[in-house]
Amino acid sequence: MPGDAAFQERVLIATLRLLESASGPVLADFPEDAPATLRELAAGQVCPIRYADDRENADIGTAFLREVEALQPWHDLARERRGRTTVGLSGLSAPSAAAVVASFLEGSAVSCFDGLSAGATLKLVCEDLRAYYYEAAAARPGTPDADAIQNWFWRDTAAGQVFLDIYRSCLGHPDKSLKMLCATSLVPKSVLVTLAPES
Amino acid sequence: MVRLADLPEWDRKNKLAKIDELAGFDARPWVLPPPLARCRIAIVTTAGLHRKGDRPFRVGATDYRIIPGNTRAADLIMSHQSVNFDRTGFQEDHNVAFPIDRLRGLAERGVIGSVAAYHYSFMGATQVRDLEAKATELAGVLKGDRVDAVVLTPV
Repeated sequence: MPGDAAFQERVLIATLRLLESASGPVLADFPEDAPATLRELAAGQVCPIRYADDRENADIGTAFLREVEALQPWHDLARERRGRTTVGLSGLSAPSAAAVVASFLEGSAVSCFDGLSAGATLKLVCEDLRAYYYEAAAARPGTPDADAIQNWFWRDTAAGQVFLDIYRSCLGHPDKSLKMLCATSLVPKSVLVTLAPES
Repeated sequence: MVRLADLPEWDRKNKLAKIDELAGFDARPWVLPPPLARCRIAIVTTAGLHRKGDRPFRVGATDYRIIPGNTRAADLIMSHQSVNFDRTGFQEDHNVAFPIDRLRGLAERGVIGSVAAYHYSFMGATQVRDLEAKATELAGVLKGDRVDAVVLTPV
């Protein structure tokens, strides 16, 4: 339960008290359900920003780059509010990370980070972009919950479309690291069963 | 921890199938620690956490990263290989995967004895048996830090 210190503490104390059992291991249910957050109370609300019009007038790579730029103020706000960001695996700014992905989608080879395979490099870049989008989405009005953010990312954004395009194009890639990335570490299974059931 | 009943069918089956991988871990050692108010506690997570600038976890990683107890939340980052879990909780509040602020609060109030100087992170998308050697090594390291018990946060 993010942001609820009291609930977190109750869970932690209940867990630690298990150490006082005379014998073990001990399996115990925590009797209290996590309280609903503002985000969950607002579940189902659609993220208010869409880029469909932009996508209709541009190729997907260009729409993706514009989208990343457009989300920057929201990500700045998210970082300011939380005092942190989980973006930073690749060391690239979001626009630079997006440029790497867009370039790869157009057929360019990935410039591998020191000692990493193409798949491992692309994984770090994609994880940074996903974190950037999710953090930016959480900062926007309407307090969308986790499911709403995931649905928005994979169904409504150019980034989601780019990731799915990479997934489809890399499944048979001769580079094993890229093939593995796409098979297991790029698109969640819950998304694949609905958006790419053919795979 | 999410309940199995709340998971989609495919995810529930996937998690239950992992029970088969645990065959052979039959020993049930139980060591009664000191009273909680005297316990020194560390966090061991499989959330793939590390400090910014530290080496990201790779596919099938079996090694661990050290997270000093004074690491700022702003320096914590996640390179877990799995894309199949929700990261929004961690993005909003690091304590959901790494409850360091809660442990500090409990130590200040005397509920626990103290918080360890170092904490440790594995990357959970790995075959459990492949982690055994490093986990055994880590148990020795924890003893060296006089740790009585650990909070495991499985991801």
